[in-house]
Amino acid sequence: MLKVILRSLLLLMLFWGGSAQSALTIEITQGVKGAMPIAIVPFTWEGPKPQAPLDISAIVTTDLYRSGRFSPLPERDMLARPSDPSKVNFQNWRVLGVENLVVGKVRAVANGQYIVQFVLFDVFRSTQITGQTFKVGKISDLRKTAHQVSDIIYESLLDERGAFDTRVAYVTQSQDAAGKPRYSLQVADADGHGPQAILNSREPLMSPSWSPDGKKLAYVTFEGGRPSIYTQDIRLGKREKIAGFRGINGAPAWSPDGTRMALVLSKDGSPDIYVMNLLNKKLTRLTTSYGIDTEPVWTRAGDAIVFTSDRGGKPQLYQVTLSNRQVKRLTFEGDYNARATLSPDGRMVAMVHGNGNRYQIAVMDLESGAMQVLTDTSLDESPSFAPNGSMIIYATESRNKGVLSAVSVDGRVRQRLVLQEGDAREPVWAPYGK
Amino acid sequence: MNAEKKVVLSDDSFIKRVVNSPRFLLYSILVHVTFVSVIVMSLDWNTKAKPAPHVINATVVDESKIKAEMEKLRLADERKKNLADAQQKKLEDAKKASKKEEKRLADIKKKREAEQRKLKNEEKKRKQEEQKRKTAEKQRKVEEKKRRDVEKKRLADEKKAKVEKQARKQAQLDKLKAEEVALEEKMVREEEQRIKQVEERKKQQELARIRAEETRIRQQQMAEEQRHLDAAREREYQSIVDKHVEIIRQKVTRNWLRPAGSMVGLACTVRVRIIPGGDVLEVRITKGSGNAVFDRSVETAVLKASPLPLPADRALFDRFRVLEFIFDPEG
Repeated sequence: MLKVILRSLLLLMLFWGGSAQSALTIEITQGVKGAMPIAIVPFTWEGPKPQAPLDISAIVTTDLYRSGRFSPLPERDMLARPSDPSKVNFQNWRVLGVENLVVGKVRAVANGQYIVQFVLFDVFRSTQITGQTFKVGKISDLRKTAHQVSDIIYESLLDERGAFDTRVAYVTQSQDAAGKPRYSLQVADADGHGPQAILNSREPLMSPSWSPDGKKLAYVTFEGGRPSIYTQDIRLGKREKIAGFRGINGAPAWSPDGTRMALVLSKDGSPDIYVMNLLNKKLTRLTTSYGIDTEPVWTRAGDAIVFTSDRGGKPQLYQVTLSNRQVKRLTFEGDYNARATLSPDGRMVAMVHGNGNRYQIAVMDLESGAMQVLTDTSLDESPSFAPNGSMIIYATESRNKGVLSAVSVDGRVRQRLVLQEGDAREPVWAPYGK
Repeated sequence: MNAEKKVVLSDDSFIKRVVNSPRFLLYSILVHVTFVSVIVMSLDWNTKAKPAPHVINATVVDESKIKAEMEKLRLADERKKNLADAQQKKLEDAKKASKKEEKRLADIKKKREAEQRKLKNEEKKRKQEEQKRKTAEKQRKVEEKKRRDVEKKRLADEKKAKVEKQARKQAQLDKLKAEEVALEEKMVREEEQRIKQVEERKKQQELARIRAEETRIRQQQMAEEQRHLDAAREREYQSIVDKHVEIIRQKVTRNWLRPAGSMVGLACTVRVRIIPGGDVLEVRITKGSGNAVFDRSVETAVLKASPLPLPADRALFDRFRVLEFIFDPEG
């Protein structure tokens, strides 16, 4: 009994001694802004074939890299390639400064199915952060599984939702065998893989816009020689023409609640911003300037619309409040600011920022007005935020060919999306969907 | 002397007879010489008081004195002659009477002779007496001397005894005194000893006090010196600590990957326990930012910076045992 008391006292003293000790205080006000070091060890393959049907770890590595938030350790630098969580020696990764480690395996099981397993470790704390096992029904779903793994890792480490298992829509232009132009509305994985044309046309296709639930796309088509606005259910392919007014019918934009569509019509003169109630197709004109008002996007709250207008002489971004149609100018920097897209959190607006002959993607903090150019190309257009706001997909030109690229919202990582046939333009990142 | 005077006084008749008779004159001269001798001798005695041999010799008598006496006597004889001349008739006259007288003188002479014999006897007796007396005197003197010697001896003895007694007494006294002195000395010695001891003790105490004081001063000096040293070392330590705080800050900063995105205003405090060598033992969030990613980046930064660069002096480790990091990014 006495022993116990003594021991408790000792412990208490130790505790007090420890807590009473005045610790040196070191203040850290700077840090490195950079990507989080991570190592994704190639997943081992267990199956009848010598090689896995898909290199999942490679897809994860690319995903994470593309986000700009991670700097994956090149495979050649790895000191070990464990796949079994129990075989991990953290010291091997610590010496490389790797903070996080992903190991996993892909196993072929019966009926052409696969088991995908992975574990995410915290290297410096020697702890498992997360891990998951997927059962994949068919080989074509392995890619999606890889993106899901990326999303889980992303969310685990950054505490925000990943946007790898999402889609983008864009328009491609190509020429058929006869040399005639051919336009397609494509939907692909966010990394550009697995594109699927949901609409092919001999006439130009423009301005795709996702419905908030990610199930529909609105776009402008020149079918019949005149621009008109359609909506189309992606899965079912069902189309609906919602606007075919005289003059311009362009730049449709779904309201956040999905009940309204902002669009640009010139039926009343110069192109102006209108809002259409999708249930009754009733139009509300928001702007009435003599110049061109175009490219409307909804604010997150759905109570205002940001648009491009040359009412000031040169294209700049403005915002009109729906309730009172009050218009205020948002951008003042540069000759040309157009094609606004708002970040999911509503704090930032991305745009094409032109200065002289250079047209680059820039983001502006709506609160401070601080503008940051994210790209270093010169003919960038059509920026679109990823649903988590971490990346912006945009179109640019490379060797006279329109290509798609993604840039991390801090501008640090830019990555071309997979090559696709023909020119690609006007990418729009799909919402998470419901 | 009285006797001489008597003799002289009674001489008148006697002279007459002497003068009248040459025999008598001779007798007279003899008597006178004898007397003078006696006187001289007696004078001599008186002056010398020394026993001289009983010799009567005229030649021995002093010549001057004799001369004077002779002169005197001559004068007297002249006078007597004159007188005798004058008196011759008278004497003749008286011759008849003198025959009678002669007879009477014969009687007287007889008587005188008897008296002379008697006187001689007396003289003899006297001389004997004198001798006897002298002997007695001598004896007496011897006796006296003896007595005196005895006395002297006695006195000497007495004196000696006295001296001895005195000496003894003195010795005793001395002894006593010596003892006393010794005692006193002893006491003095003891006292001295005691004083000495007391003094010694005092001295020792004083010495001890001085030594203690010296020790105290030395210790104080040492403490002072130690304080100076400590202060100097503390300053040195502090500079080392400061330096390493800066090094640690830099290392952690290098390892802190600030999360991208909206992390404005976030701050996180962690308490870090490290072990000697600098390895991070534990990172505990004491004041989180509320943002899991931010907090984790902070934890990772510290862990990644492990081992933290500590001073080589292990004595300083205690200051680094527990560190507090405040991650409060600017902008």
